[in-house]
Amino acid sequence: MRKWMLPLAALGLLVLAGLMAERIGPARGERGSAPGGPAPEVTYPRDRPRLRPVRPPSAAAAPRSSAAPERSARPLDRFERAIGGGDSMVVAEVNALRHSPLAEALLRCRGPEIDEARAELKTETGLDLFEDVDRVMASEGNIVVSGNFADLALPEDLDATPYGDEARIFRSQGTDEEEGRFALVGDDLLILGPDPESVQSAVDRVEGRSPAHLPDAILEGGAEIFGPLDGSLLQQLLKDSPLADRAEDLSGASFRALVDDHVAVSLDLEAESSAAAAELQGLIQGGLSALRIEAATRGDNRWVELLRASRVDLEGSGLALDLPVPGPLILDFMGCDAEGRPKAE
Amino acid sequence: MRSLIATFHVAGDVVRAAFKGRAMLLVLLSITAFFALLLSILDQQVVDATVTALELFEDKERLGEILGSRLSIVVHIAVLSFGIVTGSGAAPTLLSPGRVEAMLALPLSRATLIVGTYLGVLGLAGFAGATISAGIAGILWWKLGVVPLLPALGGATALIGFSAVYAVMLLASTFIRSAPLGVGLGFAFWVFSAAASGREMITAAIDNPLTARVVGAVMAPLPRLAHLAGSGVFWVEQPERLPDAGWAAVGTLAFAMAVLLLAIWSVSSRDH
Repeated sequence: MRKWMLPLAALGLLVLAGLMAERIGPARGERGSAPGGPAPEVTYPRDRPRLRPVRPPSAAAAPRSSAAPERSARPLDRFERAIGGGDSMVVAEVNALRHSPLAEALLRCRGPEIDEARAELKTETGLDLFEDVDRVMASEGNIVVSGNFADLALPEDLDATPYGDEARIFRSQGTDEEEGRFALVGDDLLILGPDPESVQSAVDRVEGRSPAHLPDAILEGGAEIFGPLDGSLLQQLLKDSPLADRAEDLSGASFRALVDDHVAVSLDLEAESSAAAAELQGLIQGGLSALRIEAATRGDNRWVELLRASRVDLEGSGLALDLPVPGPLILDFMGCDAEGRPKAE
Repeated sequence: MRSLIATFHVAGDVVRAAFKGRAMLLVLLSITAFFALLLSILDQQVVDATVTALELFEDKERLGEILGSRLSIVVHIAVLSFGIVTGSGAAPTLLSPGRVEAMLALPLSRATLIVGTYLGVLGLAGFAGATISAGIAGILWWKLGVVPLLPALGGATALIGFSAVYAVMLLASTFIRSAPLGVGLGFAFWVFSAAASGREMITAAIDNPLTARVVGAVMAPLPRLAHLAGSGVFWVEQPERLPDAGWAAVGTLAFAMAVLLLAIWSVSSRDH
């Protein structure tokens, strides 16, 4: 026997020992969650090329002339003009979301229930939620829905008042409360508002009678769900989270989410100071580490790798956060398994 | 065949030397003290609690199993500790200058010397394991009237774990002949290997994916000693995890063989 064979045999045995150890299940004895499987690729909204051109920096500095009221470098579409200003709002590309793999899986699993609700809405209003709705925007004031509302069947006791070029503002007869609550602009825009004035001013923006100013987060788009959130809303959202103590250091955020098999969220948090941002960064990284350990304890290595794909970077006095939300987790929350079958109760 | 007999002769020498030395006396005294402690504990609290439990559950077998599973961990730890302490002296003595030349003047190969020492020390640990398991079984039978077999499982898994720990100690002694170093290394490797049972949790805690991968690869072949130590508890409470303990045992033995081969290689390539 040659001498060099000994270390070679030893190496072989070490590899064998490693392979044996790999067969040991996770600590809590939960098997079958594909340990060691490669984590799916996550594309964060931050990394996606921006679909819509961002306002050039010079435009901010240049004096605003009355001839060019829009701050954006491109013309806004009717939906965007209807949105108007505001510190907090969320835009959802409903049609894109509907056709995402995750939504398909949810539909496979919860299909019968969803179809029932969809059919009910269709008979009551003539609106097919999956086919007729394109985009939805919700802010503290208005709700704007774009889509195809040609078949919209409105209750007969509604008064329609023509307004502007092609808008109709509806109010139900006899009740002041409902007065002027919503408007239909053409066949493609539905605007709901808390009072007649807010609906009218939205229609004015759509029809070009008043300027529309959009927050950058909305202009940039590039995601399926996106929007800016202001400090007070953030504090409210984080009230019950472990970050509640740090929430008052946050002055605002912009939120983007992409949905395919998973949900990838890019969050830009603006903190009061870079020290506060750094503190928050440590807190979030610690939390992510704890989540990874918890996932490893369950033997869910895909979750571990997915969580490792999250990023928490300091950017000036803010934080650039990229977080993955695995599709199976969402499906599980909705009572479905990873393939989109209803879970046995 | 002849080298096999020679190997067992060397192993016998190691055992004989150990029984002559003070180390073994210390071990036997420790084992006796351990039994005395166990007896005193059983005298006061456990017996009362056991009698109450027996009245509640009327299931002596189950009680014996639960008690036995806990004691199997005690046996596991005791046997490994005793193995490390008693085994630490054997290789440095054998490989000491002069002694090793005298041995090699006999028709013995270096591999025979190493494997013989290894088996001899393992035999000592096996003796400790058998004594402690039997002692515990005897005490429980005397005190409670049940004969738990799980402490013997603790002894057996300790022996498997010790086969890896001692291989590492033996490999180290081919570089530096020092009994204290062997003891320190043995315990350190034990702790490290027990931690390897939580490898997934350790790598998950590391932020950098590359670092996590490197740490994971380094820890991969290490024996999963915590899984071995827990096999008695798995037996009673989590039978679904018993295969884990089995794989841990096979992996540990493969690791031990690998390190033993390295020790033989290290001695063979050295000019004694």
